Amino acid sequence: MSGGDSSWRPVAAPLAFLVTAAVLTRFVTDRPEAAAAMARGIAGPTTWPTIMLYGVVVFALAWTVQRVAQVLRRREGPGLDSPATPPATAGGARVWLGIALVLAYGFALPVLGFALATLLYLVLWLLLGGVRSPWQISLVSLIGNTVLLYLFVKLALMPLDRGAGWAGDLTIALYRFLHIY
Amino acid sequence: MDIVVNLFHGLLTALQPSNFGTMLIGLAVGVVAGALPGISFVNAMAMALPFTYLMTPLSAMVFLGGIYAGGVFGGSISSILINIPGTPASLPSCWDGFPMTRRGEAARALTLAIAASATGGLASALLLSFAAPPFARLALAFDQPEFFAATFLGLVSIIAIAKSTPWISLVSLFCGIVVGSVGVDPLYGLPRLTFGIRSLQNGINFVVVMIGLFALGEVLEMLGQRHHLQGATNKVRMRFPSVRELWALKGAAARGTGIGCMIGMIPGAGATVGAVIAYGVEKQASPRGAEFGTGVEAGLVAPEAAKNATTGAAMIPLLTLGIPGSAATAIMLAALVLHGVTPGPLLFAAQTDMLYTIFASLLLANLCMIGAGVVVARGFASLMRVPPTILGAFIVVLSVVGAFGVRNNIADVYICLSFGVIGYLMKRYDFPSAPLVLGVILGPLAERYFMTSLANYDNNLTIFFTRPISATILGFASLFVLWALIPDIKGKVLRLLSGRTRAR
Amino acid sequence: MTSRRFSKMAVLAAALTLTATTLTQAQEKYPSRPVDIVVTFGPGGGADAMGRKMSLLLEKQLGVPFPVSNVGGASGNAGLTKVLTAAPDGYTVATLIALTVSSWASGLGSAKVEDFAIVAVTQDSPSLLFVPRDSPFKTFKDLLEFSKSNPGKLKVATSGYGTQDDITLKYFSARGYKLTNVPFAKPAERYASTVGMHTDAIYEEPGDVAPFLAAGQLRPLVVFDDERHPAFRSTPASKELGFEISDLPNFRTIAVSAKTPPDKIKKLADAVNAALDTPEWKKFCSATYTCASHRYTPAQAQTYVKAFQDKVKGYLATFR
Repeated sequence: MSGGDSSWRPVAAPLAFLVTAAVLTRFVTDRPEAAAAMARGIAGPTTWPTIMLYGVVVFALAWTVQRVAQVLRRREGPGLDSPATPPATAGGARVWLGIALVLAYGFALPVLGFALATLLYLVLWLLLGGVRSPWQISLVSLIGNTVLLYLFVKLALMPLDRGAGWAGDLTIALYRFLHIY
Repeated sequence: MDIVVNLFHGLLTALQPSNFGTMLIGLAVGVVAGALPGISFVNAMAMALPFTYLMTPLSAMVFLGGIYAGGVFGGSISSILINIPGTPASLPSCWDGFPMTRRGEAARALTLAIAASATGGLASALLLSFAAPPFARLALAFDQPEFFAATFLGLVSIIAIAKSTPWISLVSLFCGIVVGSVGVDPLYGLPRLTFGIRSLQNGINFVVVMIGLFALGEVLEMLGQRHHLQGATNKVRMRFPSVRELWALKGAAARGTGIGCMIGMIPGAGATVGAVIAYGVEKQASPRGAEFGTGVEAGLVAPEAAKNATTGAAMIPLLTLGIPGSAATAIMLAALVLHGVTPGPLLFAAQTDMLYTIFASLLLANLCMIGAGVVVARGFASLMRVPPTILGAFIVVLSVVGAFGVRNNIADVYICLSFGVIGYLMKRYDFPSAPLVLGVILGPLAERYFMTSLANYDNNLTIFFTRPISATILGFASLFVLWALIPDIKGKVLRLLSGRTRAR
Repeated sequence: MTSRRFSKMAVLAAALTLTATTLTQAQEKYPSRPVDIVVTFGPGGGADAMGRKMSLLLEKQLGVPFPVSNVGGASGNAGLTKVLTAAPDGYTVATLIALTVSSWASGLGSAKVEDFAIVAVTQDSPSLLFVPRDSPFKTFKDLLEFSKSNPGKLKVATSGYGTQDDITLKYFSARGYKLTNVPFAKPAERYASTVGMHTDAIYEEPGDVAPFLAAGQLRPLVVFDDERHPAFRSTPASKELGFEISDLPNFRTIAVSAKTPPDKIKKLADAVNAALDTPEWKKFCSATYTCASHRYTPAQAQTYVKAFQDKVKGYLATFR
């Protein structure tokens, strides 16, 4: 990467905020005519979010100006570090896998139900985190899951998802087996 | 003194084994639930609600009061030990509490937090016992413009908290307010910023955002760095700071307590707002204000005292007027109503015994919190020895359960997970996340108070400056901005003033 | 090796599923496990109190727990979405109240009455207009006369725009009595504003302000109904004053997904109606001024709610 190219990078983030917020002011509501009809006096339902989006625009602009000034100053005399350079982290791939796993866990909840999804998630997360002992994995995930079920379903009566179709039947069977139901 | 006699009788009833035991159980449940990342004391109180059906109204209130007092403190344990606020109110405790842990002073930080919380809690329980009716009248004198001004003060205190990057913090704050305005508008019923996604109509709850940004974000960060929960693994031995050490922090504790007691009475605001404002004020008031964020005791003590000081104060409008100001007091109201007890002025006249027993229990709960806090903090410190992967796994599950439990809605889990990813990115790119969360908390309040003020005062924008209380609070807020943005001004003003006196 | 292990797992999973299915099918009796009551508002309000009281009484009637979960948001529509996406097996019931139905009429949410089977109307109550104790207005006539000579001067605290509250105020504005709507998103703040004399009056059902009535901090001026309210004998009804705005009662119902099997709906309806007859419920509903004036079969309840929705739609079209 050429030096001139990368030195403008700190400006990208504030600009992104600026542009996004500016665009969003046009999309505060799907029904602008309804919003206009509802408004009474000087303010309507879209007034507040719109003003706040302009707030983002204004302060993102100030931030952009500050960054531009920094870049220009650095060009004259190098030495200052750009604050926006991401710190090099080890295990970036593992983090993205972790993010994918956590998101998958969330989306599996209504499908598989809390009990099954949590069990699967715990096993995969432990593997991802470098736990290799099968004993440790099975003990932690099974006991952990059971304790969580007793705590939140039996004791706290939370309506956690049971899952759809066969998974739902399986969850109910499991709850009966654990005397939760 | 009627009140002293009543309170003494209440104390005797509260010390009966059944009542005292109920309070202790509630306290323990509260501290543990508060300390668990993801599970907040409001969660715990809602979960406990069905159990209170089986109790007398008195035990129900004593139990919920115990959870409330304990939970508001408990959140700080995980704030201090692992930099994850256990409840939203403990967010400011991360800022100076965790740096102390990193320095190997976890025990000191925890003891200071417990002592400050207990002080704030006791003070507000005393306020509740002795001055509830006059304070209730004061609360009724406040209207929407005053609430707006107080919320504005909360928003402004973020500028004071921002370290060296006011523009970025302001962008973050306004993004938070925008996020908080997503969903159906509370007055008109029009969906905003939902882009046709139906589950966004329910709005984005600040607890869900906070769990995502701080708990999930931290766990993902941990996964990347494989760093151990540093510092906390050192034995957390409880060393009670000497009386002299505590006394040196009396100013911070007193300011925190005062702010907490006032903020607690404002409907909707509660412990989080109290703690944040107390931190902002303390940063201005403390001689070591510039060092805040590096583990300054006063920066931990002030918000700790403030958040527990909101507990008793929040119960004043509930018990004297029947008006619940916060999620926690709304749950207490639900418990009372189900037992056929309607709080309000009549309750004060008719059920004096019960009320003073509740007050006495709250006093006891804040005293016992010192013990409960020490025990649970020790337990948590030993949990920190669990490998970070396993700990992280359960923090994720608890976060998911906690986000779900806010409104029992799976959509909130998705929002929480999304903010987890955002939180991780914010950490990586050093984008301040605290202003965003505070924007999500305070934004909807500010909008509500603003819009209702306009409706009630003929769309007159000057109302905020012409009502005395509101104008005073806004005056404070502008002083705050000036002092925070131009640090030199404080010295200049002081010099100018002293110069003038000398000239005379 | 791996494939063998995999096939073993598959067999195990299949076996588990089979047992699960047979287990659940063997339990034909309804209900045989906890039934979730989705309260469509947060804890501490009228819908919550109804849901929780019902939870206790239904458990006694049907012998299984009825855990309450509060799913607030979007005027009650968030919770209803949950009921509609859950399996229509009678194990998820919800509170459906007038406020939510009128929100559909003003275009919120995408649910409609036909998506639900109304099990029973559990509570209904007319709304009243209350003034603070020290208000200068002794009668509703006083208040109306003042509003005629000072249009828009009177501030009435309500739950929002486009609600029954708003419709009622617009009804009076259309007749020359211009009242200003001051909407409050949180009920508690609404009550405080009128009790604290920051607003001149409040439109509310009596149950929600019971403590203030008991303490004499609020005075009723008028009942928006055809007849006087049994608990407020000296307060005139709107009809006797010549105003036809009695058709917007506050009601609360128990509803399930419309796809729920009829026999389960009947079983639930019988249990709910039996619960309504218990002395415990009667004590609760008279304390909150919400005892249902009629008993409805599920079919009648359905018509009742549908009629309400059409009425609100009609009013909104008139006042647009």
